Amino acid sequence: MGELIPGLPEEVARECLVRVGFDQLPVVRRISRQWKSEVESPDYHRLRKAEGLSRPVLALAQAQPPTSPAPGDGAAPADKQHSSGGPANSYRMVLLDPVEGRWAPLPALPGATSSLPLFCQVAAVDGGEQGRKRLVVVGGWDPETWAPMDAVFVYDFLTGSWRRGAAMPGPRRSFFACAAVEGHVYVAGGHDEEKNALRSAMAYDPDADAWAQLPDMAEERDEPRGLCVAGGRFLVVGGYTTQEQGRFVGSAEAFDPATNAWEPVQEGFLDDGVCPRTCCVAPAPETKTTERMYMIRDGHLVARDGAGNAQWRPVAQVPEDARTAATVSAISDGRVVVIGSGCHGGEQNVYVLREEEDGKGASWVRAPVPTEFSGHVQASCSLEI
Amino acid sequence: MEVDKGKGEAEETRKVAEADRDTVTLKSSDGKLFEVSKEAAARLSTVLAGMIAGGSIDDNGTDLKQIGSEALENVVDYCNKHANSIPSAALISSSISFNTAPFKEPEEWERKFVDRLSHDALFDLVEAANFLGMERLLDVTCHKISEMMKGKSPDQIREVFNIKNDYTKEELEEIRQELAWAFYDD
Repeated sequence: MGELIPGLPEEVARECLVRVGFDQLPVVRRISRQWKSEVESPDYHRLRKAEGLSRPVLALAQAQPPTSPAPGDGAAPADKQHSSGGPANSYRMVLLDPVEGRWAPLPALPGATSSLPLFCQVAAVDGGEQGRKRLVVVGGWDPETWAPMDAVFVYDFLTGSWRRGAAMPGPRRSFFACAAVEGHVYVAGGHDEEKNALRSAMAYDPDADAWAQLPDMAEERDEPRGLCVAGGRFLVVGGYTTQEQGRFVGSAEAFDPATNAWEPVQEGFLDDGVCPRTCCVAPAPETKTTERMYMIRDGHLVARDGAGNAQWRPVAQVPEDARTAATVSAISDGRVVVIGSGCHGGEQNVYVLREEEDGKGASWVRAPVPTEFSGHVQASCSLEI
Repeated sequence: MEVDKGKGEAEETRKVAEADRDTVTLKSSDGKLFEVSKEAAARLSTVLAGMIAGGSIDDNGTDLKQIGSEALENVVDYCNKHANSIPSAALISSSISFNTAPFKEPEEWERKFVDRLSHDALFDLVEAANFLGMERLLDVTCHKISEMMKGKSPDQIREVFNIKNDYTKEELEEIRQELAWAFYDD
């Protein structure tokens, strides 16, 4: 076996390779057998993490800017009638490092439209023996016909390519809860093609490229929010029944993969009538049995610590030009990222807030947003890479 | 600062004596002498810090047999530049970044410092930084080497680093297959 990089001691060559950007990994892997086994080794990822080289990033399904921008013609609100397949309905996957303010588009989905499905969900999976990072895009609507899709697309950061995953079984479902929990992507609730709210749930294993059916939830939940919470559980928050169209309940229920069962419904998780769309969980050490959650209510960022009937407390007012929040994400070091606009269909702004331990001095820092990345964000997930 | 050996022993002795308190003299493998601030050396290099603390510094030039004069000159240059840049660097990083990640991007001057180096000089400097336990310099130089891969094809990267492509035809085909979009029409 030769030297990893001729002329450099092994440990130094390794230090150089852990510093390559995630977008370089696919090329680095093709250099030689030695380089490939280096970047695929679990040690490689541990070293990246240990040296603080892996960064918290958000993966965003974002509207692509029109190829020839017309004045005042931004991303068309998706609930308007579809025009002629114009570029405003084209969504792509974008990575944002909110701390450094860096943006990078991922390669486009292959195929005629190359757009991500409208209203698709995205989850980041850190599974497999090698800790391979992948993004899993689930469901949504066909960008051309607006028909609900069962499609699954998997992006592998090591190969730098998309592949098609096994289709989501069951009824073609829209607006479901979705989150990655310990290497699997969980899906629950939403509605079928007849607009019936669903209780059913399932899990996708990207290593096996297979879906498994889960027991049903206790409640029908259309438009719920899916979260990964302490103890490796999948929490489904809010939603509404077929009867109660659009009237959100405040309850939540959690699925525990260890027991393959749903825990009893927890009432009053949110106030009734509150849309859970902006709910997110802050990253916490695995040993922790509770976590901190954030969401936006009436123009304020609010937080909830602990389990049971913990109360939501106000943290800070959201800046005016991000008040119509598209997504809220909690990343490492107590930082919260809000992506939103001043009005529906407006340009997206990105704000980062750091909540101090003593509860004082929380203030927003505005991250730069190049025009290319100012399109509407319809789904997001956070990961470290 | 390089002390030219040709300038006569008297002057050299004077310089060494004068610098006794706050600089150390380092001697490259090819016998050239370099002076560096004791404070900077101790702060930036764990090895030099150990030697200073342990009293194994030679006033007539501490032998660093593993490091050539070009690399040692760069090491000393880096230490001096680093000492000069501290106040502004601290100011900038606390005001714009959150400054919590253990790894900090190279500063502008550090970028310039490594950008001007030839391939061989850069590699020699990495080795010197590694040998002297200079964590920050190692960070900056390794970062530079990783950046040399940016935007290059596999063939170009192999050429830059003189790496042999040891993949068999079959293995290359396998990797190509992975990259071929694994898509089927429904």
